[in-house]
Amino acid sequence: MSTGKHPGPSARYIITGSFLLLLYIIFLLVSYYRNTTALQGASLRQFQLDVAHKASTLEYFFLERKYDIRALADSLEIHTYFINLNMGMSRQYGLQVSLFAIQKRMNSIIADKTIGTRAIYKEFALLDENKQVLVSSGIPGQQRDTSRHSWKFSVNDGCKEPELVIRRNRHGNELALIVPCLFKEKVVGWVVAWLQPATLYDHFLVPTPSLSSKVFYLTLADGSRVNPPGTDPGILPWKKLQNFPASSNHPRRFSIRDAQGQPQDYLMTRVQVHPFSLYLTAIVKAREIEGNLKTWQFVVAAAAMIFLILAGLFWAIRANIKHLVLAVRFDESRKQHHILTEKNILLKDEINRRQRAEQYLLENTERYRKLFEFSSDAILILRGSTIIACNKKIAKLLKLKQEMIPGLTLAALSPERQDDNNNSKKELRQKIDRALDTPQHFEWLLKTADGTLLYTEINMSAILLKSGTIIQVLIRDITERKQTQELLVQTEKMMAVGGLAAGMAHEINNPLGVILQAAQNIVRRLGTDLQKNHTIAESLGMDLERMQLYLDSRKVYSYLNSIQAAGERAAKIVQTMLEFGRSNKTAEKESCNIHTLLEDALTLAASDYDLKKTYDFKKISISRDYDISDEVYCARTEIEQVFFNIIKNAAQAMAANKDAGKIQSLQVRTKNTGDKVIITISDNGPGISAATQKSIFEPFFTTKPVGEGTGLGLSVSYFIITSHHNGRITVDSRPGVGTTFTITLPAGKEEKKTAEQTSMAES
Amino acid sequence: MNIHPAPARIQRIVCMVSIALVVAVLPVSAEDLDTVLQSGTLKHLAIPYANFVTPDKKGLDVDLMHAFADYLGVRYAFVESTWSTIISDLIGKQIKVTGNNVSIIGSTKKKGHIISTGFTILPWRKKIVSFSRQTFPSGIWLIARSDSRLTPITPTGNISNDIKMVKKKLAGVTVLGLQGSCLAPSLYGIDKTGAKLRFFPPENDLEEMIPSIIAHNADATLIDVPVALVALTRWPGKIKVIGPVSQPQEMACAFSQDSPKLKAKFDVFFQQFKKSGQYRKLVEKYYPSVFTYYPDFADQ
Repeated sequence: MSTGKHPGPSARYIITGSFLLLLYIIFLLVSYYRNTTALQGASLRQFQLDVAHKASTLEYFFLERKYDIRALADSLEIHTYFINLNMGMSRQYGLQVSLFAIQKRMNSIIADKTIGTRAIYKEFALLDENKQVLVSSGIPGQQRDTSRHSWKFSVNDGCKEPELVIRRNRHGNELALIVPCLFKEKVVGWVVAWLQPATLYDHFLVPTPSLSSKVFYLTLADGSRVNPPGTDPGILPWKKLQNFPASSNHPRRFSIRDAQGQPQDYLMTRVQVHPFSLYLTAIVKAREIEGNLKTWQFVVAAAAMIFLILAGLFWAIRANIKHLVLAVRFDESRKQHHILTEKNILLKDEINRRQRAEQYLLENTERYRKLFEFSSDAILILRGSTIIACNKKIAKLLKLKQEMIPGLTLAALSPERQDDNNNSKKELRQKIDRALDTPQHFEWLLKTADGTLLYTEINMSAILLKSGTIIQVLIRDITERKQTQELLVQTEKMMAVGGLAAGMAHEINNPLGVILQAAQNIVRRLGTDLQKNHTIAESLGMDLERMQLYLDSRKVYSYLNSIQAAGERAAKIVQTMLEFGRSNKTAEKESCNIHTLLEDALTLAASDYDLKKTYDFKKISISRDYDISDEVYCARTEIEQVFFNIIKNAAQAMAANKDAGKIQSLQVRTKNTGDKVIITISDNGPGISAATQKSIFEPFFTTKPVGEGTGLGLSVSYFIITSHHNGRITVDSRPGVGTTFTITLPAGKEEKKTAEQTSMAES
Repeated sequence: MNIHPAPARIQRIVCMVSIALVVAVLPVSAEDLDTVLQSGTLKHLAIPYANFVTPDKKGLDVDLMHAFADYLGVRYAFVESTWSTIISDLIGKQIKVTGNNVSIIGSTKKKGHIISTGFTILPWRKKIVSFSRQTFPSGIWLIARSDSRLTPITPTGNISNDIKMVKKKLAGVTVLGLQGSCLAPSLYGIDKTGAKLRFFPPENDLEEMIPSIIAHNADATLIDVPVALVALTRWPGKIKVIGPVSQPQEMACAFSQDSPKLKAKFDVFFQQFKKSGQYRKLVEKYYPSVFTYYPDFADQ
C-alpha cells in the first residue's frame, strides 16, 4: 500500500537493487532455460545417432550373413548334389556321398563364422523343392527333430535372394535366413541357416555403458519382438507400443506407472535394418535425455525467484548446481558421440576398403582368367601329376569338353607309349619331377578323344604359390611341322635312291644285253634250222641230230631258257629303274579330264589278265564319288599308270581278305578345290602297318613274296606325281580297316610354272 | 584246394598227380608268427590303391600294419606288389585263376607275411589264402561318365533285383575291368550280358580307371564301393553311379595258409584295436564318407 511517501534513497537503492537483482535473476533463469533446452536437444540427437549407428552395424552383419548363405547355396557341394540328382542317381547309390559333403561344408561354416569365441550360426539345413529336409548340419547320420523343419509356410517361392524369416516356436523366436538353390535357372531346393540369437543380442543389442536405462529390441514390421528368451528387459507393456509407426525416426514420448505407482516418461525411436523387414527399436527414460527438471518445475522456480528474491538467489544457486550436473552429462554424452562418430568413420572406411579390394580382386581375376582362357597356346596347370585347370585351346586340341579335363593326368591324355617306345606315364613322372627344379622342354605325343595322335612341343615349368607348387604346361601342336619334315626327308631319300637306281640300271644294262644276246646265239648255233650248223658239225665228224638228243636229255635247253627268262625279267626291272633318271620332258603333257583318266585306269584293271584271273577283279564293288569335272595338265599315260598301280595294289590287298567273307569294296573320289584336284582311292583290305607306311614309296620295297613284285610300282608312281607333275601322294591306312591313297595335282588346262621357273623366264 | 575240372577222368588224375608232385617238390618254408618274431620284421605286401595304400606309401592299411607291427614288437617293412603277383608273393606259389577256380602251376619266392591293401574276400581267393575278420565293407558298383547314355537305376529295395536291372543295360556297352582282382567282370557275370569288355593293365594304378572312362577309353567301369565314394567327391559331376553289380562284399587281411598263428594273433590285435576306438579314427581319416553307408562297421 502507498503511504504517499516516496521511498527513500536507501529503499530506492534497495528497490533498484532488488529490481536489478530481479532482472539479473531473470536473465540467469532465461540463460539457464536456453542451456537446458540446448542440452536436451543435443542429448536427443545423440540418442538417435546412437540408434542409427547400431542399425548400420546390424545391416552390415546381416549383409555378411547374406553372402555366407548365398555362397553355400552356390557351393560346389550343393551344385554337385543337384547335378547327380539330375543324372538320376539315387540316395542308395551315390547321392548319400554328395549329402555328406554338403553336411561337412555346413559344419565347417558353423565352426569358422564366430564373433570372438561365440558361433554366429546355430544350424544349417538343405531342403528339397517340396521343403523337406535333405540334410542338416551336425554329426553324420544324426538327424534333427524334423518337426522343426516344416518351412513350407515360411518360404516365399518367388524369391531369388536370401530372405530373413523369424518365427516363434516353443523355444522362443528363431531367426533364419533362407535362400533358393538354382540349377539350370530353376529353383530346386532351399538352404536355411539358423542364427544364434544370443550371440546377436549380446554383441549388438546389450547397451553400453551398462548403467544407461537404454534398451534395444529387434522387431518386425508389425511391432512384434524377436529378442531371444531371457534377454527381454520386460519393463514395458509392449502391446501399447505396437501401433507405433514402423518407419518413424522421430522419438515418441509415452508415460507409464512404475512399480511404486509413480508415472515414468519414456522416449522410443525405431530404425529399419535394411534390406530386411526388421527394425531396431530403442527405448530410454526421458529424464536421462531431458534431465530431472520439468518445464512446470522451472516456472514454479522462476515465480519463487521473483517473489522471493533472496530465496530466489538460493534457488538460483541450487539450479546452477543442477546445471553443472547436466553440463557434465552433456560433456560425457558429447564425448560418446565423438567416439561413436570416429568408430563410424572407421567402419565406413573399412567397408570402402573391402569393396575396393573386392573390386580389384574381381578385375584381376577376370584379367588373368581371360589371358589364360584365350591364350593362343594350349595351357594346362598341374598339381602333382593331376590337371587342375586348362584353357579352351587344349580342349579344342584334344577334342574334349573343357570341363572334362581337370582331374585327369597328362598320362591319361597320352598314348601308352611314345614314339621311342618309352612308357608315357613313367616318362611324364620324371619330367614333372625335373620341372620342379628346372624348366623342361621336350616333344611329346598326345592322344585326342577320337584316338588321333598329336605331335606336340611341351614347356613345363614350376610356379611357387602360397598354397603349394603348381606346374604350368605350355603345349604347341607341331604335328603339321613334323609331317612336313617327314615328307621332306622322304622326298630327299627317294631322290637319292632313285638316282642311285637309275645309275645302277645304266651300268647293268650293257652286260645284261651281252648275256641275253649270247644266250640267244647259243640257242641259234645249237639248232638244226641253220644249214651252217650242219656243215660245221659234219666237218668235225659230229652228228647234229644226236647232239640235239644229248642236249635234250641233259636239259641244256631248259637251262638256256632259264637264263633268257631271268635276263628278260632283269631287263624289265632295269627299264623301270631307268624311269627314275628320265626328265619331265620324257612324256608329252596335255590337258586331260581327271575322271576320264580314272575311268580308263579302271577299265584297264578290269581287262588286266592277272587281275581278272588271280584276283577276281570283277567281284570288287567299285563306288565313285566325283566332284565337278576339272582339267589337269599331265602326261596321260603316266597318270593312268599311277592310278592302275594303286588300283592293282588295292585288288591284291583285298584278295587277302576274301576268305574272311568281307565284300571287297573300292571307293574312288575326287574333289575340286579350284587350284587343286584331290583324288582318293580307298579299299577295305587288311590295311598297312605304320612301319610299312613309312617305306612304302621306297624303291625295291615290297611285302609281296620274292618274284611276285619288284617293289618299284609305287616308287615310280611317287616320282611321276611329285617330280613330273609337282603334285603330292600320301598314304593313310588303319590295320584291319583299309587303306587310302590321296593324290593331289595342280588343276588347270596349262602347266603352272613354279616360282623358280617364272623368275628364270622373266630374267 | 579246388582243382580246375578236366573233361576226362584220366586227365583229371594226371593233373592232380602233377600238382601233387609240384607241391611236394616246392621248397615250403612256413612264414608263421615265430619266423616274423625271429626276423624282427613284419613284411606288408600291398599295392597302391585308393586311400588304402597311397602312392607315397601311406593310407589306412599302412597305418593298420604299422600298429600291428608295434603290437608284435617288430619293425615294419613295406613290400610293393601287383594285382597279378600279390598272392604268389604271399604263398610262394605261382597260380592260375579260371573263374572261381584256382590251380598251382609252379613255385616262386615268398616276399611278405601279410596282404593288407583293400583286399576283397572272393571265393577263389578263399581257396588259396586265409582271411582275417572283416576290416572293411565293400561291394562292386558300375560307374559311368556323366554324359554317358547309361542311366542310373531306381533302387527297388532288393539288391538282387537292382543287380539284374544294371546288367540289363550293358548290351553293347564298353565296360572296363581288371583280371585277377575283385574287378574281374566274369566274377559277376558281366561277360554274359553282351557288354564289350576291356581290361585295365594290371601294372597301372586302379585309381586311374575313373580318369580312363572320363577320357573316353570306355563307357563304364567296375569299381568297388570305398573307391567309388572317394571318386564321387574327387570328380564331382563328371561320373555317375549306375547301380550295383555284386552282393555286399567284405575286405580283409590275407595270410598264407601255413601261417595260422600269425592270423590268430592279428585277429586278437584287430579286435582290441577296434574296441579302443583307434580303428574308427583311422577310417574317419581316410574314408570319412563310408559311415554314410556303413555307420557302425568300425565298432562292430
